[in-house]
Amino acid sequence: MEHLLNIALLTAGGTLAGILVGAIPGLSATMAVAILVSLTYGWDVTSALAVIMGIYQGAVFGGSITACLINIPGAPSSVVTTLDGYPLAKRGEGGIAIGWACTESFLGGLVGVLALWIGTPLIARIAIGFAPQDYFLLAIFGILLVGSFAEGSFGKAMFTASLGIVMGLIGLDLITGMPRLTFGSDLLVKGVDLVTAILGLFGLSEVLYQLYQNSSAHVIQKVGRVLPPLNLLARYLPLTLRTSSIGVLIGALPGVGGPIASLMAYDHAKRTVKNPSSPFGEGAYEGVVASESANNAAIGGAIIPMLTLGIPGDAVTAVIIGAFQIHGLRPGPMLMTETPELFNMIVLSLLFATFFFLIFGMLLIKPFIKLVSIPQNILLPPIIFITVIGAYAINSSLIDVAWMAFFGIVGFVFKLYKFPIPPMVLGLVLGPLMDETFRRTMISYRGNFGDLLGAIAVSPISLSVVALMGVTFYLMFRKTGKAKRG
Amino acid sequence: MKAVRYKSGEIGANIVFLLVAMFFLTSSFFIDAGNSQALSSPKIVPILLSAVMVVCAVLSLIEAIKTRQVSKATENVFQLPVLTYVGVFFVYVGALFLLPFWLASAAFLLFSFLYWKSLPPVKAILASAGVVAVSMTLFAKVFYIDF
Repeated sequence: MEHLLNIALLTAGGTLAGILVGAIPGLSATMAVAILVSLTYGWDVTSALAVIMGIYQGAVFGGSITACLINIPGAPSSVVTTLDGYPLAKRGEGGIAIGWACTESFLGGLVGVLALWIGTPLIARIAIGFAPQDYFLLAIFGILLVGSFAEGSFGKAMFTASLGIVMGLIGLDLITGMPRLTFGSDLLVKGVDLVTAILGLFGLSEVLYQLYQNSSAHVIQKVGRVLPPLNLLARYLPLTLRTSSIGVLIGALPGVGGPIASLMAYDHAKRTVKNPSSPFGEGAYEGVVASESANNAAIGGAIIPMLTLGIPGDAVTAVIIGAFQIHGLRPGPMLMTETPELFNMIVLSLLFATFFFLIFGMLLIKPFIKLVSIPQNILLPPIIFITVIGAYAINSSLIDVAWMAFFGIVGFVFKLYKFPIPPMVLGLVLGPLMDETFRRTMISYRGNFGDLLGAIAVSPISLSVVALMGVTFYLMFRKTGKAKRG
Repeated sequence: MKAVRYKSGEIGANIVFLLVAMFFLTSSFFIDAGNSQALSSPKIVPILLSAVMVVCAVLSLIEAIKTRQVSKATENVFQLPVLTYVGVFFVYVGALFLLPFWLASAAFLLFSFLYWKSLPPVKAILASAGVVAVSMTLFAKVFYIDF
């Protein structure tokens, strides 16, 4: 009971921090989780994960606050919420817009948690039968998903992903035990520390970039009523369930995540709702309902491939894999059988977080608005300091701070020239897996590539992975096509 | 003027990325492969991926040379204060090796608040001392970090 209370309190703290981070434009859930992963190094894994899950859920909802009040999404998954949330705020219904975002995020979050609870053991059971070639296919799948982070240039995304993979291979080779790409330096034999790299790439670089953007925005201060009418809530429930299911399914596709889930849910609402409260794009409640229920439902979906296959569902789950690694755990089907209590704890923390952000979101709207109004040049230097502490905390070593600074500057330069950063982290996470599984597969097929292709062609699991790739790429290119058409 | 500086900066950055890619490609060929077969060799993935990096860097460089559009966000970067602040951050990281953690951090925060004109001097001193004292105490007690 005491342990449960402890988990609840940690999740509450994480959720509150997540909402605050999500509500500040430019600061992302990925950055907050990256900093926290390093800070919680000395904690037991359940406590660390409780706070991380709270941040994850809280930040995705928090992103909707600025989406409604400033027309700037606090998180990428809230981009679609701006379409109707901001027009609502402009006509004096900012409170109701945030109220809708909060209740729908809550309902979507519940659907996501339910899907995670039911779906994960089922997929883990299938994943136990995976052969090395299936893991290799999954790693390739993950790497090729850089397309979803491409931001206009697939070549740039592929460059950062490849750099991540090659840097992930620095250190001792897992198969031969020989040093690889260490250039004779003892410092490199241990390899590149994933958490330090993540902290620099997502934490420091993001803060530096925000400082240099030096943006200020007008925050709508008058919000009015917050609680949505219950009769409308009941009326929109079927839509909520449909868009939440879309969120879970799209979120569960590795690398696709909340932004595409909310976009597809919005598209679904536009096509199926005959008489919206206002035209879509001009303050339709249904627009906020669809976007917010889907992006929080996508969280539960994104955690499924991370836990069962070790493949990150989005950038945040890539960072959470780092949290598992620093606690000596490797996500995958065996994690589910060896430490089922960890899975239960993750589900419970997400469930707690879902209730907490509903409470905090409804009660603390006004303080959040005050916080969003604080100039960034006051908030950001202390965040740089916390990032430095985060890097130091990993091994109580200033060398890690220097590495973090190095990755921070690399990330900053990437941001300046529009080289996307998430693919580099995907590369760092998936590179060693890809290398190891490919080479082990080739050893088992005595170096014959034709035999490997033959094995893939007759294995139902391998063929399912290939089919999953097909579906995901179809969705990715559909999104790109829509973006190009405007 | 800004456009010219951005453009040369982007081309310069792409050349650096290309050199990094070529460095990794060359280094990958020198990995000790022992007795392993070609496709299971520890060289295979680094060589393939470094080659991909080289190709992508070349494509990106060509794109940078061809493009004429300069985004508003990246123009700001070439203001001197931006580069100076990055330099000061590196001085801070270096100072951490020489000075006590709290002292180097408080000095960095004070400089940041004054540099970005976030707070007047007295408030900046109090804020930087406060942030360092509260953060270090909190992180030492809650996260067991030994400074």
